Amino acid sequence: MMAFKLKKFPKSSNTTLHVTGTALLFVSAAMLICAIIEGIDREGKKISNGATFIDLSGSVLPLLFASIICLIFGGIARVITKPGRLGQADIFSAVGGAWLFVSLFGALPYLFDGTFSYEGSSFLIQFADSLFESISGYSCTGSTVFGSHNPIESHGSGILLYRQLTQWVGGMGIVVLVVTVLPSLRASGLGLISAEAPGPESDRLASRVVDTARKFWKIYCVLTICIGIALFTAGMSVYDAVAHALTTASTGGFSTRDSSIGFWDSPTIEMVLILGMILGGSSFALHWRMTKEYRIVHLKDPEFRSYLGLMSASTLAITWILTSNGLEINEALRSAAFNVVTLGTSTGFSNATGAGSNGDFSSWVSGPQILLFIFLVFGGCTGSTSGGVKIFRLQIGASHALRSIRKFRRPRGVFPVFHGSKVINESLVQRIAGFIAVYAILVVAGTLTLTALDTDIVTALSGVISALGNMGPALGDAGPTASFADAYSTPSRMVLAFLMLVGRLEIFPMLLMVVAPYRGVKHRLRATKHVY
Amino acid sequence: MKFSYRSRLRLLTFVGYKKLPDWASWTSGLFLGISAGLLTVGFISTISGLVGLIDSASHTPKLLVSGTCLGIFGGYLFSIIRPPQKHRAADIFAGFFSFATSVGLSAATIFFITGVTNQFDTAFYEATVAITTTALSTLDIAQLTPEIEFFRGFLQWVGGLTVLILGAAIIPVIGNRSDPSSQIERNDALSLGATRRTAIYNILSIYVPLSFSLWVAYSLTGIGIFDGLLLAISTVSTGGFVPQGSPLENAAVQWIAIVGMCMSGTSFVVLWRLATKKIGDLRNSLELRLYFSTLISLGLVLFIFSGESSFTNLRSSFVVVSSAVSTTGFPGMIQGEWLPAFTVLVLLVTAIGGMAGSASGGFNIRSLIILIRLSIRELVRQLHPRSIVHIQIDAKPLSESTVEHAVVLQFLFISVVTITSIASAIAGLDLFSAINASVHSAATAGPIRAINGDLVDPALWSRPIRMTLVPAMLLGWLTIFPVLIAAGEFVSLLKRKEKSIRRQILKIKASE
Repeated sequence: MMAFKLKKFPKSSNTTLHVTGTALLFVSAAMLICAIIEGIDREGKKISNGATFIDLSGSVLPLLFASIICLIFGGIARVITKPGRLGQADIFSAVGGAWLFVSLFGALPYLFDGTFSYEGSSFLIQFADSLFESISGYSCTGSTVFGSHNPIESHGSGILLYRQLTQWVGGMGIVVLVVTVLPSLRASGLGLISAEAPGPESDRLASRVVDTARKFWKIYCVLTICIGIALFTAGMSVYDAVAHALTTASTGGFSTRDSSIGFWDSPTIEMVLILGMILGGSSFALHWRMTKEYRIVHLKDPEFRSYLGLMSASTLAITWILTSNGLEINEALRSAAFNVVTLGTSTGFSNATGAGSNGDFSSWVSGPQILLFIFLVFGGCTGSTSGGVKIFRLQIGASHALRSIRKFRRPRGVFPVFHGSKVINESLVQRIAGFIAVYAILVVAGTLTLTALDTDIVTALSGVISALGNMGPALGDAGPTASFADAYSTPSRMVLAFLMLVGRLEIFPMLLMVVAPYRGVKHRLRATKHVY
Repeated sequence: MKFSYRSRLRLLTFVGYKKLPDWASWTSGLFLGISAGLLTVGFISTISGLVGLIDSASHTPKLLVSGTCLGIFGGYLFSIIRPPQKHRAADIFAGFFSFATSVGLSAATIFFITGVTNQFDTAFYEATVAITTTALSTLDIAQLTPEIEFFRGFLQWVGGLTVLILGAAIIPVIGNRSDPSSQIERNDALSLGATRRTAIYNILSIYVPLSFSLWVAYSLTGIGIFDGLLLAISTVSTGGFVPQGSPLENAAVQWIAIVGMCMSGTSFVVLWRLATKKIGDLRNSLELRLYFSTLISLGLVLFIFSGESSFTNLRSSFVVVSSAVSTTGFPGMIQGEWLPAFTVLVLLVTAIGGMAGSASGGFNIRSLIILIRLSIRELVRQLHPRSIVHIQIDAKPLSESTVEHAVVLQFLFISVVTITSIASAIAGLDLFSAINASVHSAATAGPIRAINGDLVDPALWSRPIRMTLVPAMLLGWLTIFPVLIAAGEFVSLLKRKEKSIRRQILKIKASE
């Protein structure tokens, strides 16, 4: 009878709510998995201690509660709505809305668990920290408010795995995940994927949008499994290998250890991670083509070549500078390679064994620091899980500048903008120019805001660029071994959290997500006026 | 042009050089620039030598001799050049670049000869700082003789005039008139005249009287005629050199400096229209309003948030702001507390600079307006991908090429700052100082401030650090684009030469 009533329930056409609801169901499932794992972990420990009762202490109940809340809200939102035809404004609203709500609901486990409840932290600070960690996770930024005042390792395996999972879910994209189960979106699905995908254009791997989304997720899962196996073989425990595989493939950078990868101090693990991060930071469409064509197609891609070239050149330059400053060549090369790749792919792991150690780039001389700072801006390749402006956009920017100079010298010549041997459409060139302009304005505005909130200029500027590029660590007081809770005030962290979301969605969806609701309200007001 | 033995002999003996064919436009532009540079430095050196006569005249003989030599050499070079009927844009820009280089090298030689510094690289740095109107000098003012002070001051004055001519007389009217898309900045609002000659004449008719008025005004405050002159030429050129005795501590001098700097950062088109009473729709000019509102609002922000409500602090705040916005670089300090945000604000307005068509550096307010409008258009296009939106300034639509140039200029400016930052950081500057110094160099501004607001003395930097800033100053002074266009042309020339050499080698091989 109930089912009959639900069937008859009139569904309103609201894609934003429908997509958000579906996304929350995935989040709920992630929380449930983590609760089960925490439960099993605790149960295992109890059994080994001789106890037999079911243990629901630790973060099991908080994760369960959060999962139920997400299930209820997500379920209701999905049941009462249906996806409709989408205009551009609706697409931005749907994508922005989904990310905002997922980040908000994603903070619940931390809040219920009291993860950020330490001496002197009020509820407001706990909420802000939970939200920051959630946004940092889903946006794959990797900045954290854990620190010496609240060590990561003092928390349960479930909540830490959930933290890693947020990055994995956010890496490929929540909306891409939603599209895989919503075939009814049809062509609008591509708009949604494009609005969320890193880079100016999204690749289409199949004729159907749903198939494209599923293929992306397939490659992503395979990559994660491969990295996990490699990390386990390199010496990590199963739990750590899985946890780090999740954040390597997603180029997120969260770790289950306070000193991140520095905890293992193992060149083999670092080598595996470097390879994993490079694969995560390169286009997934290339990976797909590789599996189809059975050959390495990456080196033929101009973006990937520049990406590798830049990282290699910077690694060598930093190694040279560090060596000339007294570090042994093997240690210099190891530190340089790991830090260049971790920032070049926007991952944000750290191989520093402690503050001031070889891997702590904030203690290096300024030359290597500024080279790493540039990688904070660059980011990885388009169509990957990495953040930043993207190599492709910078290549087009440089090609555009070169074209302008050529055009001025030969006014009647026709000079298209090239990317490799491919001619780039003028409208795309203009879009990239507009993106870079908006990006620059956001960096300036963000830096001004943070310095007005009493942050020093290097920490503020690098923090803003790091947040916009979803990098993780920054420079100054927010280096790889520092906590963002110490480096920035609570209002500053909220500004950074907003910038992380803006950066993850490549600026426009977050800035324009209010347009559709605003239009809706305006339309209704007009209609009301007309009636009366 | 073939330089046969006979032709060379004719040139050297001034016999029959008029019958020689025209030079290639590139070579002609390049050598005209060099000769103009040599003549300019020769003239300034000679005048400075004469100025030295009012005091001990310790450097007068050296200045007179070197000035005369440079003048003769420059004059001879100028006389043998056979310019073609028309110079292309790239040739003109190459001329400006060679002018800058020859001025830098010859002025450095004079600094070196007169013993101002015993290192040629420091001398070249000082010459670049002077000609590019960047207030990052390492010299101890107390040790300088009046003739040397005048020499570097006059170099700044010429530097200011050069950038004005380039920005307000060359760039706005250059390119193919029938095809606006080929023009670098085709906009009537920026043009001071229909032809280059008219525009240059109009610039001079503003620049010289403005310098003279400021000289009179400064002198009336009682700081002395000579110091007044030095301050006036430094103000009008947005140079920022201050004479001995700290005359800027005088309240009246500060007010005159504020007015002078504001005027120097204003577009000369605006000043020319005001002078000729052709005001038109000047009151509605967005760039002008934004320029003055930036000056006033930032001045008030510094005054209010520094926590010192004295009248002296108000004046000091405006000195700091007008010095930064106009990229002059007069050293000023506010009376109250200097907040870290002030450093960011000052750095930001320094990078932006004054109005387009003024003597100031930076990528100018007009470009900033275009970039903001471009950002808004991009937001609109995200919602309506097929819409056609034109960017307008003062209700006049801009051509896509103008917008493209503004974007490219922004890209190039950031690239110059980035590359300079990397180089100076590798040379030993800390991260913040590297970024700060690079922005100031590219914007031809000074002085550099630490986070706590204290002025940084560039003399404390090592010589490699200072040398890394020189290319940024030159690029920033010549508004980047022209240098790259000239460089592009130079690369093409080299490629063509390489091709012709290869062909000749192939011919020789074939004949063998």
